[in-house]
Amino acid sequence: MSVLIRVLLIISAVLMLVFMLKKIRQAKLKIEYMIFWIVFSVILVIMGIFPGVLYVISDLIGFQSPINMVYLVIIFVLIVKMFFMTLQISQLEHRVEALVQQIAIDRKIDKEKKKVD
Amino acid sequence: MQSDLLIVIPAYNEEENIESVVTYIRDNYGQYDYIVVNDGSRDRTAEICRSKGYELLDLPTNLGLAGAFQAGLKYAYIKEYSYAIQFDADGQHRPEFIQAMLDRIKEGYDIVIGSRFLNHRKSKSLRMIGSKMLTAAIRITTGVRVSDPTSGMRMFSQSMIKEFAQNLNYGPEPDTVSYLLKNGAKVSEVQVKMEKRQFGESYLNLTGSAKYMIKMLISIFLVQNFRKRG
Repeated sequence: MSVLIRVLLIISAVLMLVFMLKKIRQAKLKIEYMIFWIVFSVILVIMGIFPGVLYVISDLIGFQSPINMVYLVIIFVLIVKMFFMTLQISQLEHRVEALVQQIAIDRKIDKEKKKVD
Repeated sequence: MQSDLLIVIPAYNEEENIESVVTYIRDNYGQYDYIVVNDGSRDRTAEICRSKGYELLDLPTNLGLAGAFQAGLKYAYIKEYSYAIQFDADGQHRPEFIQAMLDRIKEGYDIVIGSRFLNHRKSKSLRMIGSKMLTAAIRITTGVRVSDPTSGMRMFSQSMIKEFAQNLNYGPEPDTVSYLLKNGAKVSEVQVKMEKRQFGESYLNLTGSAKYMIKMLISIFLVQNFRKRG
């Protein structure tokens, strides 16, 4: 892996971390949602600092070049993450729907009860 | 006295139509109960309903047709109505056909669809091609002919009300009809007439219709096969 790519890896990982920490400071992000990104950026930094590990693994699996493995792993991790985020969004939307419906129904039934009294 | 039937009228930004539609039902079809579901409209829909004293479920935010209709059916379920009908707020549906649909559903059907095309042929517009494709899709997957799958005028029995109220992915759309048919629901159609919209735009323009068709066809042919009922 060229020095340029290693430096890019480290810089982007650090930037990502700074950005997330800023959001935590501004109270715009729950800590449990940050765990993934911390782990992800730490792995990027390790890959940037100790590329030797990557060479060994990619040789073992049989990649032409370690950078191919880096791309593949990052893409794979992000796809999986996106998939689970889609699940979360769907669940969230369902909860909001249920809430909104419940609020409206409760109000209506309260009103009906008041009319009877 | 509560009637057997609840007319569920989902309304999103219908300030121009809602008054004539609901007042007409209230004054001429008082034998049926109705409920307007205001789906977080940004115009004066809710205001009009309140000032007129209509029965109103006022959703604090916009959920879309499926969410609004489900709110109506949850209400119907809580109030133990035997039947519920989905009825448009834009003046397209005509309440004089409700009785015929009610008579039909009392023969023991789960869903009765108010069809524009049971005895009339579809015209050759782009929209009707879409309708034909959905009819074909439902026929291929379930073996049942539904002449007007996109009709928004559908009546549901008590067991359907419960199912719609309690589950995810029960939008009032053709894919749900196909799914329920596959699972043994009894569906029938009654010939009705519908009006053109009185005011305002339909939410389905050309790209919207294309998206709708793609969503429905993928859902009917693929996704519905993997659902577990219960």
